Amino acid sequence: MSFSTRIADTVGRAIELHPDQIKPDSGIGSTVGWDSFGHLRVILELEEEFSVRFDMDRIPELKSVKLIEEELRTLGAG
Amino acid sequence: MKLALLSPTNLDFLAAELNSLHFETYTAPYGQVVVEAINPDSGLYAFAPDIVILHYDAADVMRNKLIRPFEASMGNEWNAIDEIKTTVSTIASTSPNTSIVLNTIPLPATHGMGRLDQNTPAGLRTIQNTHNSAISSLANELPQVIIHDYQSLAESHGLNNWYDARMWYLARARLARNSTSAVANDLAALLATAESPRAKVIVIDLDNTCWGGVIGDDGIEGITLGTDGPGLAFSTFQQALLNFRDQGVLLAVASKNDFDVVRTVFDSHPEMILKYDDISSWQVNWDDKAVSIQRISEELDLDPDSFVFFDDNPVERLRVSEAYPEVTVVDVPNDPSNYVDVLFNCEALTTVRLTDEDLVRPERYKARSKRTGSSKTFTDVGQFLESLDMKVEISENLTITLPRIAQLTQKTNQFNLRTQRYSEADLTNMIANGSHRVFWLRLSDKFGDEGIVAVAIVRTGSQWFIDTLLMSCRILNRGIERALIRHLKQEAHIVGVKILIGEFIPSGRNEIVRDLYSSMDFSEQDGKWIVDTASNGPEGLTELSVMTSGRKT
Repeated sequence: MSFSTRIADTVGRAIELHPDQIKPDSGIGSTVGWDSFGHLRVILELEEEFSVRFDMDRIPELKSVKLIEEELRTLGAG
Repeated sequence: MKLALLSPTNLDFLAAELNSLHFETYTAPYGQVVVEAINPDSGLYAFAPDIVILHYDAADVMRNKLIRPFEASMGNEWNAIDEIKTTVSTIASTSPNTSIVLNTIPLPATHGMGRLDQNTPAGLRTIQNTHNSAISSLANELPQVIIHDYQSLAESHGLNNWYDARMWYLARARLARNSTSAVANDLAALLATAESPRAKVIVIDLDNTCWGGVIGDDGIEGITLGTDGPGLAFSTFQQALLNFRDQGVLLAVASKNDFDVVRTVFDSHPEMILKYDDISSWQVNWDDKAVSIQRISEELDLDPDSFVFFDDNPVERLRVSEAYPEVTVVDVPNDPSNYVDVLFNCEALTTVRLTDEDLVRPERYKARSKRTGSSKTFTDVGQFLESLDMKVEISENLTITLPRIAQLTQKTNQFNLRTQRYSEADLTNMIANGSHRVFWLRLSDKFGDEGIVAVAIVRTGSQWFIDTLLMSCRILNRGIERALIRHLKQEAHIVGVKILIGEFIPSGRNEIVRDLYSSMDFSEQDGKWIVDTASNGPEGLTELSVMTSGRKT
């Protein structure tokens, strides 16, 4: 499974959407179920999946799948 | 089941976990606890919940004291317990059939008191203890209140990773991801306990369950039971059983043994904690344990769905769970030092309420009679035996098995036709001088290898005489002895011997095999039992896969 597919699966699980509906520009406000509550669900689910921990001040900044993917690479996942 | 969640903090994450456990939830806006309770038109009452979960975490109770415990408080101090009491009584009067779950609080791992906390009389731990006592008192005052021991849950998971501070700063929630699901699962288990009746009977086995060893073979001096060493584990387990009897759960015995032998242990073993009168129904016999469960049910007039079955033997457990799927069959560990924990963790045995009726129940159910039972069997016993996947190996290969065979002749008392005791040297001589042949039988089934469990020793000659026929009682009623007798007949027939002779010598402990030979088509002649080696049978109780090896010619 590619890195992006794994991210899409994880995000989909958190906000209860099919992974096919998760695109690089999906994110807070632009995707069904991805509100501020959904955002934390996404973050916690990603932390579990990739065994990483996001710093608190980064969490509100990770507004899209693309930004999340970059952050995960910075943290050494993928 | 409909759950409403009320809290000073954000429980949306908990609600999502509860939804995934198939609870329907309503989460009141956080911080609106009293408002939701007081307003009869609130979302809370519109939702008409079965249960209200009123959740206050430690930080909701202690507030800023967790950070600045020495800050002087001004005037009338806010008190969480007052707010909780108001909320509970308002909900109870507005919606009397709704249960209300309150929780105890842990002391978070880090706080402004540091190590000073335990070293000062007015530490945060004092607030915690006062709060928890007040919460428990509410359960005594109001029947609809159920306490969730959130403190124990957090402590058993470990407080270091229980909270996630980011969740507080970003979302006004408190728990780490895994803590949230732990709380949801624990609440689900608590509600299941609160909603379902507690088990009424614990059906226990005796050998290797209430004491170590097999009473019929090891004797009253030989069983393991006492005040130290492994015997202490069994004594403590007996105490744990009595704990449930103290609370109104009846104890019943289902054991494959002779009743008189068992009675002697209960009456005269100095280390027995359980006494004869503690047991409300006795099934001590050699029957199928599913039949024993049925008789206990009839005798106590209680349904098997209120039974918990505790037996060290996985075959008995499988038998009972197949015959009575509604019985809670405890997955008993191999190590008796774990028996007590496993018993205490059995959900069917927990309850959130004790009634006066519970406390007197055991006295009302004093054992009415002892039943030693007939050999009634279930029609599907053959099918059950088949499911065990038994494999039998019969052999005369003695290179490494001789010590085990000698040991079996020394210690087997119950399934032992003549109770002849032999040392290894005796056996070596008997084989060397050609007067005897020694057969052993090894059994394995889907639970594993039982090892050598039966032995036959025959005195050879123009007729064969069965000098020794013994078997471990653990594998009784599985047709194993029939396979062994069939094998002896075949072996005799091969060497031209036409008659096989058996004998039963009563020893006071082997009543169980008095009728063994007649049940296997031997006929009685001058106090002995004979059979033609060319005859068929005895038929087994089921198809057995029998492998023979090490044949001696």
